[in-house]
Amino acid sequence: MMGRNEILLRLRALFRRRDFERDVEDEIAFHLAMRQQNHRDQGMDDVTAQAAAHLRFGNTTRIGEALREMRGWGWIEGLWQDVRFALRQIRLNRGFAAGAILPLALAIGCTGAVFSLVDAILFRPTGVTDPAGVAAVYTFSRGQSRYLSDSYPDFRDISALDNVIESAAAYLRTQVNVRQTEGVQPMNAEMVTGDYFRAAGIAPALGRPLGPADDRPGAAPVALASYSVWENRYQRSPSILGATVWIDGVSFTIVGVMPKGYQGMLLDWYSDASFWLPLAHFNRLIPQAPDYQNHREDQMLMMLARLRPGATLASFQAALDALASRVAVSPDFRFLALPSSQARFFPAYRAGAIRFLWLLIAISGAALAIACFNLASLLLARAAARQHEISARLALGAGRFRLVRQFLIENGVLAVCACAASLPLAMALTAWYPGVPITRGLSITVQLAADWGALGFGMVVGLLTSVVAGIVPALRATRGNVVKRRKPSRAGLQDFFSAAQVACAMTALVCAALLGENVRGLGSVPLGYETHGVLVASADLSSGVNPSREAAEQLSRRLLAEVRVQSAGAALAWQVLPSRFQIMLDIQSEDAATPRRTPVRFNWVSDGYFELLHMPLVAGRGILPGDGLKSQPVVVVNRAAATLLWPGENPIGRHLRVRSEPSAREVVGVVEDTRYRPLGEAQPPLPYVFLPMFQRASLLPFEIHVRTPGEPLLFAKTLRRIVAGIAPDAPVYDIQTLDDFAQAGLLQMRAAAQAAGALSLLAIMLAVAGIFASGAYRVARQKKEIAIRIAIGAKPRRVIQSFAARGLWIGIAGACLGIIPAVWGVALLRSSVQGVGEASFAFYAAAGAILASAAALAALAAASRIARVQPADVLRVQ
Amino acid sequence: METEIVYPFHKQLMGEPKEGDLLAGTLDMLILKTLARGAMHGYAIAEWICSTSDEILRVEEGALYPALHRLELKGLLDAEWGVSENNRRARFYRLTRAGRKALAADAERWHRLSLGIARIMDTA
Repeated sequence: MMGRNEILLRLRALFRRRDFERDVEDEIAFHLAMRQQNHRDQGMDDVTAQAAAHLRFGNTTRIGEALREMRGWGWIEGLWQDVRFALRQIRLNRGFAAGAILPLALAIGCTGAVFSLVDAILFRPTGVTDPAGVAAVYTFSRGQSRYLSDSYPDFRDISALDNVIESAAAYLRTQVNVRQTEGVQPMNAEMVTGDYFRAAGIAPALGRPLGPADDRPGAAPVALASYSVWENRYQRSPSILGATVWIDGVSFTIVGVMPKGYQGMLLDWYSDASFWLPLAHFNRLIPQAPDYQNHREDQMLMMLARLRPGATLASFQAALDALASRVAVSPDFRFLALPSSQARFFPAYRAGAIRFLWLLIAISGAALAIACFNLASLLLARAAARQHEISARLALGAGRFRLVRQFLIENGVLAVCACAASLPLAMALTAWYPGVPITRGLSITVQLAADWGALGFGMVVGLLTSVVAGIVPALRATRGNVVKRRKPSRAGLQDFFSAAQVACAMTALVCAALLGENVRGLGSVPLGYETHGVLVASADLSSGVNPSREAAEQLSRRLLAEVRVQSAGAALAWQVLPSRFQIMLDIQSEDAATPRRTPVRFNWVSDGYFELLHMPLVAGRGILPGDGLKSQPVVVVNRAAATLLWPGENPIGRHLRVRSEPSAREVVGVVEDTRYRPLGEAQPPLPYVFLPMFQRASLLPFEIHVRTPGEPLLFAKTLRRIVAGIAPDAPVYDIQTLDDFAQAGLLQMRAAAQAAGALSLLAIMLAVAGIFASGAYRVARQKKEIAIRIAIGAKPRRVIQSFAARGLWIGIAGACLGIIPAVWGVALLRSSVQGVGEASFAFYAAAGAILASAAALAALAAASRIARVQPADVLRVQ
Repeated sequence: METEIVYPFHKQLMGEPKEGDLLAGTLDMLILKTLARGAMHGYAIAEWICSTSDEILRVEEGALYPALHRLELKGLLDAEWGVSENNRRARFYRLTRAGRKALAADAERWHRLSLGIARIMDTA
């Protein structure tokens, strides 16, 4: 242990090195002078006195060295010297440094960003206390092997399983209109049952949580605000407690603030919620499901349950199974408890999201591998160039360990530089992610404010791999016998690195080409309806107060009429296609006593909808302006639904009943099938039914579709003006073109394809550069041999060919080597991205041929330097 | 009369004296004792030990300086540049408070040790 005094003295010696060295010399010189004087006083002559003094003192150099070492910093000082030496080397060889650092920075930046994303999506705590003791409960349809959410009666029954669970909560996130000083704004609210805070184990940052008393019918409306609302709207003032906020025309009193960043356990459910409200007020805000508390068909709630201490997920599942056999709405349904670690996504999307993350990890890993092979091959070339330096140092007695250490430190310094250079890239990537939808149509709400932990982990991985990449070159360079003149080693290892780079490039090229082909294919698949030239926007004419059903219909019809005057067509719909919502249909048939129950996708649409989207009618009629509450209830089905419900029969005139509706609807028309998903999943057309918008119990809010004469977004201003004329502060939001909406799911694939494409380009460039460099190096080293061959009559062309052939062989070897990771990459790609085709043998062969010829060209370019070799000059010099 | 050379330190010029060595720390102790008289430079310390012991003990000069520096690093000595009696720049060493304490402890230990040895040697 060093005392403080010792550290100070050592530091002084370190920072005032010159003074210290002089002091040591002076002290020894003084002693010698005194002793010499002493000897002279005893009668010796000057020369003898000096010799005697030295003899008595001993080896001054060694003692001085001992004194210096005593205050040195040992290996730390050596390390520092190595670092400084490495920095000087970088300054001296800027080209080499740039060639090593840039690819590494790219790769490390990607890795850091990807790890940060993986962490945010899979591992970062959600704020739920002791998540291991919490389970999410979903309804699972065995027949369709699909996950559904739960109904309120389900929740009530599951809450009663109090021998295995301590508390349970149901919640749903919905869009609400919040009246603020600058008008009404759509925001997300999470409606929760009374035990939500207890089950999730969260305590508000300020104020009180919601309790069971707040969730009783007739309870005073209270709400908790999100932390960011508190921060941005109330400047974190405690006066938020007791403030009122108008949500959908209901005045809520704010009683608390949620913990910072808390957004619940489910990450892929709309965007962030701003308010948490008791579920008891659901019907005051959303009148569509009037009796949801008694309908098992209204499966709209998410559920979480906190297990009793000692209870296991398995015991909970057993209790759920027993319950389901008694109460489930269909024998096909069971309740499934998922551990909270698997409940960060709606279960159906989890696997897809994880596969997408794997794809990103694979891409960044490939980038890292490419950069490391590049680094290793560059280091090897440079070690060869520094052979004189190394030989000299070995001859002077430097230990091999010391040399290897210095090489590794130079390598580490390069990697640290690359890390520093990668930071802006990593930050830019993490900032860009949240805009990219992770699962189809749903973007993820994750806090990606530069997480240093995850970013740092990615960087450490990058740093370690790059240092490891330097070990082989370092060992190779310092091997050898000092006495023998060091013969240049065969470039076998470097050729191997070049081949490995080609292999990486092969993998990246095959995957990028497949992915690119897939994305191109997806973009061009006809959807079956015309998305081009259509503007969609959400509008809510209720503007904070719920108008009566008649008033809402009048406003909606007026809006339709006014927009139609100014555009090429307009229609209203509940959801923009492709909507994922399903309803349960009861199909009455003559021969069966009980109706057949089938879930199908559905949408509420106004008249003019099919015409606007150019969806052709196959039979019957479309939806007419007259289809309203007072006329006969009707429905239009698509061809797939007709085939599913009445195979081989004419559907027109048949009846079906929507669950929760009192009377049956008559099928009046059949429309052509369309693709409701933009991604190229080779699936049979989905059954879909369209119900007349104006036969709906509640109209608001809706999506207005406008076919515009010119660029759709230019119409936004006109639309806002028209809406403002009808309902002064009604919000119009989420304005976008239908093209963009329909393509939204493609975005992540485009991003992945672009990343893979850029990566493969980088890989090919690095591989080509590596082959060129090693070829040029070999020519330079074997100049004498080449000169002799030419001098004794070889044709330069033949010599060039023999050198270029080596490049070709490296290319071929690399391509063959690359087939294994490429096949693996393709398999990963096919499992994570739907619709990616199988790569044929010809595909691999073509990629291999491209790479091999690129390698041969690079080697040829390097070998063409041979033409410049003048045998006479070379041999004279040698 | 023969002259003892104190502490042939060759093998462990840098090393800390090890416990259990009979003469471990003897040079350190002699240095501390010498400096108890006041600040001195290295040459004077060597000379004083030599003359005071009637030339029985002769400090090996090469070992003296590493010992002085080590004691300084341990905080037992303070060093300062000053002017010697013949007007040359010299480094003067002085006991610190910790050095005084160490000297007292060393002296204690030495007395016990020599007493023990004497008792054994004095037996018939």
